Amino acid sequence: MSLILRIEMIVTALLVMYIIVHSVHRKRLRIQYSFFWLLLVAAMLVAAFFPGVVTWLCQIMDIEKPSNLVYLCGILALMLITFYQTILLSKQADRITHLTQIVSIQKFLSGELQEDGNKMEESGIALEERKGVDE
Amino acid sequence: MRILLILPAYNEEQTILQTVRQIQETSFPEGMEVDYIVINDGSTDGTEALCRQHQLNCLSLIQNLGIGGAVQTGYLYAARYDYDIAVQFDGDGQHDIRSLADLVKPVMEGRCDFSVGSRFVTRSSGFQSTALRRLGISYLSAVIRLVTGQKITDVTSGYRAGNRRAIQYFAHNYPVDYPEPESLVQLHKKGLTICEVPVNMFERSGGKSSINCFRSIYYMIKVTLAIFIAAMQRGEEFP
Repeated sequence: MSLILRIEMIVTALLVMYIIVHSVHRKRLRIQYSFFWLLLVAAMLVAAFFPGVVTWLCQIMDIEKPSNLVYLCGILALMLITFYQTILLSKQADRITHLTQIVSIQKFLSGELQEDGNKMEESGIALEERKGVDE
Repeated sequence: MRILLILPAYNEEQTILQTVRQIQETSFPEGMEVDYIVINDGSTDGTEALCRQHQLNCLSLIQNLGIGGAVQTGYLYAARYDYDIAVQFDGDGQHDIRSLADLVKPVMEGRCDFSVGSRFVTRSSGFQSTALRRLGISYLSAVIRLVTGQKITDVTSGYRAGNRRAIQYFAHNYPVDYPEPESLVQLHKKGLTICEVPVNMFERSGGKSSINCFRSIYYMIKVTLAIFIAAMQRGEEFP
């Protein structure tokens, strides 16, 4: 594995790590979801600092260039993350559907109460008009 | 027996009032106490205003969920109010309310858990759909027969009635889009019995079909996939 590739990997890994930690601090990313990304960073650092591991794996797997193995792992990791996200997405879609149904039913049940509430919130003129009608 | 008609409505201002009036004007045989609920699936037209104006029993979803989510809301409602039978009934005037007694009869008599209103059993319906669509339906029917071993001719029919067991099942599990064929396989898998009853249907008098012709190929592939996946699930008996 070339020195330049190793340096590139270290720089990228550090950059990604910074972004992840920063995002968690700013509460844009949940710790539970940051875990996989940090694992990826760790794997990159291991590959960059101990290229022997990569070349050894290449021999076992009959891959000509170590860089190819790095790319392969990168692609697999991305696919894994994407798949996990699709599952999460489906789960959330189900939850949103269920929430919508429950909220809509609740709203239906409290329908008349709600309507009265809305009328109360309307402007004073509207209220007075309503009083007038009632009288 | 208390029967709930579930009328999913998405932008059906043209037809929904007429459909509800027909239900209200129909006199049903003794022992059938028929209520209805319109599930307004986040319509963008005047459906909601119309329902309010005419004081229809209308539950408006706070956002559009698609046909599956809307129908499921109806089943949740039926479960909550403890109805004996829930019937899916289109808001667009396709289904003939006069067939209702025939449709619910096998369910009321306990001969099956779920009955499907069919246009094809005995050519009962004046409206038979287009040749191409019939071809699609017989294909899906064949697929369902393959995985369930049961012959159901009108698998895409949205005119269906279920007992308490079916209500409970659908309140918790209902497929999302184009749900009819898939849901039949699910019921079968969970040990609920399905029967088919000849009913009358009309050509839709307004609104648009949920299946447009450009999407039909995609629809067929997707539904076939859904049927096979549903068929592969574990077939635990539903209580």
